[in-house]
Amino acid sequence: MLIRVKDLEKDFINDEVVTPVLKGVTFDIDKGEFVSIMGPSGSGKSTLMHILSFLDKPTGGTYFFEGRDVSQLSDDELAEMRSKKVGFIFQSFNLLNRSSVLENVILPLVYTDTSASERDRRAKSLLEQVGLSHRLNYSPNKLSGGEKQRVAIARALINDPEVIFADEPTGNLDSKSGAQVMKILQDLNDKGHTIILVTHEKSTAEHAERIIRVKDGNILDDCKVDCRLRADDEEELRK
Amino acid sequence: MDIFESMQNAWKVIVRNKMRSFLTMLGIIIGITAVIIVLSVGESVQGLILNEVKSIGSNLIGILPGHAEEDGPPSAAFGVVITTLKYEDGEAILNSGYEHIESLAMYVSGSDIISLNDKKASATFYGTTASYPDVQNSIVEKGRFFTKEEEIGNAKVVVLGSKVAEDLFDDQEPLGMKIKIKKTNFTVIGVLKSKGGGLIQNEDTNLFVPIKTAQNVLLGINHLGFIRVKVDKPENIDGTMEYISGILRDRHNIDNPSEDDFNVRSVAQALETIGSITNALRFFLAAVAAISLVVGGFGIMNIMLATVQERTKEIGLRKAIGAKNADIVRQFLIEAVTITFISGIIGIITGALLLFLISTVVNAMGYYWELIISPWSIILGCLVSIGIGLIFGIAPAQKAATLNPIEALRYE
Repeated sequence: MLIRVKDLEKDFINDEVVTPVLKGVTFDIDKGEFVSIMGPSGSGKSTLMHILSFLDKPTGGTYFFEGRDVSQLSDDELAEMRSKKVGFIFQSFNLLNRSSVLENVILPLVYTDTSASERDRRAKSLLEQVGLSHRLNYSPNKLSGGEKQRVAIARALINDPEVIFADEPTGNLDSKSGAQVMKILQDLNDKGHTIILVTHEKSTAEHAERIIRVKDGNILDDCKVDCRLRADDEEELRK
Repeated sequence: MDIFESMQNAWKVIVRNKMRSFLTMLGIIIGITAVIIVLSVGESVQGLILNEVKSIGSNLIGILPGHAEEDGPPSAAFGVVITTLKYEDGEAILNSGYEHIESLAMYVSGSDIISLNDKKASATFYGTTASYPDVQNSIVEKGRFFTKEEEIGNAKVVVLGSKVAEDLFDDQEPLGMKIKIKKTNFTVIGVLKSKGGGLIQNEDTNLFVPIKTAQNVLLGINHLGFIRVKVDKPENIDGTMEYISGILRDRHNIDNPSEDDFNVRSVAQALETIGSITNALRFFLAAVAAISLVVGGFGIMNIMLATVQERTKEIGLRKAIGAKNADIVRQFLIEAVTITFISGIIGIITGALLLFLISTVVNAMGYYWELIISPWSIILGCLVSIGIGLIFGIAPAQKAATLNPIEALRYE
């Protein structure tokens, strides 16, 4: 078992007004799964992803990652988990335009004790895998959206993470680039990577073999691909 | 996170906003420039005073006409003509046979256009006694100095400072030539060896004639400008000063020292006065340095806060991919220190250039001024600029480190 969450709660407190965002979420994710967390904006799916990826701490419930109780970890230990266990792909890419493509991919290794030559070797190999070895010294703002997201994927993979979190990875891409990115994620999953995809788009979510639908801080349903989403559910989610 | 990358980032921050960076760095640059000048000028002044001591000796006592407070300058220094000191006073001190007095010279001075045929030069002439070279540690390079007989016999002979000889005669042989001072012909009998410029008196640009000749023929006075007494050993200076004061009070019928119409002081004291003036200047510069460094520090803090704001998203990303708070603090601290350190280097270079300018100007004015850029001032300049970066960079760096990564990633 890679991830086990039980009765996970998260409240946001703003000027003494408590807003519950997650109201007791329970599920497990195994190593090697490709899971979509799907829901409309405000459903709590992003907050759930932030907690799963060690960026945020729950206010209630338990979260075990590889059998380790995450709620007991210090800030530095959480940073180390982010450094070693997870890779991120963001909707808005979050590349540093002042650095080259190669430097962007290397960035996560800067916070580890990997040697410079090893960093270079791994980054170049990954950029070759995503078909960008001819763009090593480009600034990211010279690249197309699809290329940027492929750089981000290479960056997410550089630490050889247990889980890749993709937050609306196709949200800023045209359909062709989006399909290309989804193909890469699919390939990564085929190679054994665990992928957790957060999206509000049904078509994107359906690339996963399992879809967890979230609404108003609760899990609406959690089913394998064979239970296709029904049209009326779609309606319900739009409300 | 390696230091080199942070330094590169800092460099990019500086280059991206050249004007803003320059204005921010200005305070540190001015501050460090002042630090360099304060420390180095101190050593140069020390050198200047030492040179002075070397050229005229530290065991000299000066006797000036007119009363003076203990630490204040003598009234003669303000151009007041006081006629209380006479040739006979000097003779009396010399003839008293006081054991620690080695020699004594008397002086009057004036300035005039001197001329050789159609060549003219403006110079200060001194009427002095035959004992002058002994008292002043001067060496006659060519010819001779005038004798006691010439001193009292209104002889129209002149000894030239090296610079005057050079200006008037170029490569010509000056000995035996006649030059005109105040329309009177004087025969050149000697040329002094160059000593380099001095603070109290620049011998190289002076001319020396017998004192009686100067009093009677050139100036028409019978008082003295000042007397200098050479004491055998520095430790006997105080006693000798007392002794001289006693003789002069006797001769001038003075009972109460507060009514003295003369004042006796040592060259060491005079040099201390110069030292205290330059010290005041250094304190002023040190204050300028401190104020600009503090103001500059706040400027750095300001630019770093702006940088943190601009790069909120980057900070969020770095935290998301595994940067610890300490990594972020370190990154922004190194950036701040890089900016202040670069400012420091610019300040050190500016300071060195200004010192070079000062030494060039002062030397051109004929004073001895060694260009000293103290290695300590450079080390201190570097340390201070790094320190300012650390002190004023810590708050922005902590602000960056405590940003919530989720908020930071959402920031547009």
